[in-house]
Amino acid sequence: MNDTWGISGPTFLTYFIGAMIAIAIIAAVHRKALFRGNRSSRVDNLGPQQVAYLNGGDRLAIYSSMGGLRAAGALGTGPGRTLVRTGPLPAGVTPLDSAIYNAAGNGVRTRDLHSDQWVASAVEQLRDTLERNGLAVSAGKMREARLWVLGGVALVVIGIARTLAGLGNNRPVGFIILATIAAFILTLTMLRTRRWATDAAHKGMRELRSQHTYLSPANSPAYATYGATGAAMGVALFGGAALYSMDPAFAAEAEVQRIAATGGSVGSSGGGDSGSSSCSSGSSCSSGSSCGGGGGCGG
Amino acid sequence: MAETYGVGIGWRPEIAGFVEGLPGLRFAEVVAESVHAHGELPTGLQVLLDRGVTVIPHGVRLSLGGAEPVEEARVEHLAAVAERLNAPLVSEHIAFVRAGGIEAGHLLPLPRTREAVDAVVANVRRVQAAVPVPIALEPIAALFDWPDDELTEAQFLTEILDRSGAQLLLDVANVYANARNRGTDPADLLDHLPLDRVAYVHVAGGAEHQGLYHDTHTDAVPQPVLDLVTALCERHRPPALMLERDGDYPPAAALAGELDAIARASGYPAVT
Amino acid sequence: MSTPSLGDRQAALVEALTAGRPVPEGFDAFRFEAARVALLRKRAGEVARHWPMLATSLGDRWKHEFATWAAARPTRGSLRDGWDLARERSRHGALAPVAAVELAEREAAWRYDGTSGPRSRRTPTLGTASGAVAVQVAGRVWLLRRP
Repeated sequence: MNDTWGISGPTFLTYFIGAMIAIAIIAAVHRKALFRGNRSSRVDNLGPQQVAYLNGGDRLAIYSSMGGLRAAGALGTGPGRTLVRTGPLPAGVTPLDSAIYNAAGNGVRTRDLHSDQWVASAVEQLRDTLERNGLAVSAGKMREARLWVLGGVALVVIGIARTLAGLGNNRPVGFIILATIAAFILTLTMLRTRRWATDAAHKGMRELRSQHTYLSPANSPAYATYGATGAAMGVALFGGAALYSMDPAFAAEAEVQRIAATGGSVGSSGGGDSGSSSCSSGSSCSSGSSCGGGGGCGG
Repeated sequence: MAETYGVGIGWRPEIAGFVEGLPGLRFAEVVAESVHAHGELPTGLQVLLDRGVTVIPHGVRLSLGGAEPVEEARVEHLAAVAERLNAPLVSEHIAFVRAGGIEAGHLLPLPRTREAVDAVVANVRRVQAAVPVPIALEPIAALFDWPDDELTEAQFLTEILDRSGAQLLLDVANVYANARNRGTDPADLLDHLPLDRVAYVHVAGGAEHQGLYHDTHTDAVPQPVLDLVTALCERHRPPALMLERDGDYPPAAALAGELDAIARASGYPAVT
Repeated sequence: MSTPSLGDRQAALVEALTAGRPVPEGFDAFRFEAARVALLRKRAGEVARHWPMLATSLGDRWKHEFATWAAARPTRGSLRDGWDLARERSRHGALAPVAAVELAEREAAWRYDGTSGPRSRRTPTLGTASGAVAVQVAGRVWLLRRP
């Protein structure tokens, strides 16, 4: 019996796995360099929409602005899932706020906001500043990082070809199939990674998130107390779910997606506070509220 | 509480960020049932403790006034939370919240009878045996009274405190609500309570519906309640007073304004 | 005639307040009713915190709808009260799409048999409610179908 392609199985596997590991390592190192960003840049002086962009891109930046405008009483929903103005534009707003407020005046739907010309240019402006400061990963660098996907694809193709050839040659193919699957998963992982924040920004974002834990939807934060900036920051750090916790009717009407912010732990998994907590059995005040609220015979 | 703490606030997760931002805060209260006895503390609460703020666990579901003995697990939880928070004191209500296996979902008033005094005192003693720090008892606001009261409110409360050795958590909003709904003078109750046993004081808002004053904790603190704070402090100033707000939270400025109003009414320094 | 014990009288009071039983003798009916209504209002607010989409989907009618449903049902905790109400509305085809999504996601994430407290599920599960379908794998929930 001849070895398939004149290379023995173990030798081929060694090269194949070696190439896979090499691609993974080089891609990771390349990414590290591409995504490093500017270490001297700080995130603690960024506005909520900039933080939102770093956490979830264009869409989260738009949601964050919507959260702020909603908390300020400037934005509502109209018929057909459109946005409408419900009050004057508050003072001290960002260009993105003005753009969304303007779009609301034209009855634009949330999902079409990003293609509104004024909104798109405001987001672009936001992104440019962040990229210049070494906080955001540019689209170009993201493309560059994804070049290694080609190496992964090549491996998968070779793996499949070898498997087919091995089958024709009546050779065992179990290991090469496993290795090809591994190469496929590696490729998919490289392809799916989408990030907006550089490593420099990431660290700061983590700190920002822990400083603002009180804005996490798990705490049902009182947005009236935290104001428009708090609302915008809540969405920026904890994703679209924060809009639902702030104003479920508005968020549902506006068809806000419950996208999670990249670092946030807020999924759409329901249940919220656990039903098996120490005080849930028949409790009517299991989530921290004392029994006084809203009622009439309080303590 | 032996020390003087001044003005505090009820810590709630919804306003954790606001409470954290109060520079002069020296004491706060947390609903005991919302704190895990062993798991991690809510971050905002941990921050307060790290800053040296005294945090008092406030039970709402022990049902001290229930005819049946308090549930051991609940008492143990309260004790564990007190230890966790390193609290100098715990507090609960003179009320019952369940009977015959049904949860009322609320604090319900007791008949002011000797039988009820016996029941409360027996339960307070059970708690005292398990919890290493003193307990303060809070009289509640009730929209209705039992038909067969034998004692006045002052007699009822004094008897419970005397026999159990517990301290008093006086809620001036409850005093105001009860007096207003019964058509009596709130200052009169202050004159007949052992004010030297007040550990701390609750101040809360309410609203009137259909001629009855509801102690909602979701409305602003009305001026008469603040006046009652002043009347109380003129008689005997308690070591600590706190704002109790449970929902419909207003903008931060309004909440800070309420804390300042309590500070003014009591003569303590502002914490905002 | 012997007077009933404190425990019996407390039980009668709680039943009147939460389970639709008549007001015990001697109580001021107007004030007792005010307390009963206030309690239902408070419960509605707490359930709305746990079930925001259910409450939102009923808008201004939420408090009334909840109070009607809960008038003779003592609370079993806000999470379960909302769950029971959502399931009942789902059975009657009266669950709005946003509330159906909320229910389906919870059904996928938690095991709730209606008689004891919900427990989080360990195995992958599909949750359905009024046309909404959600799937839970390893604690994460995805919505598969919106009604």
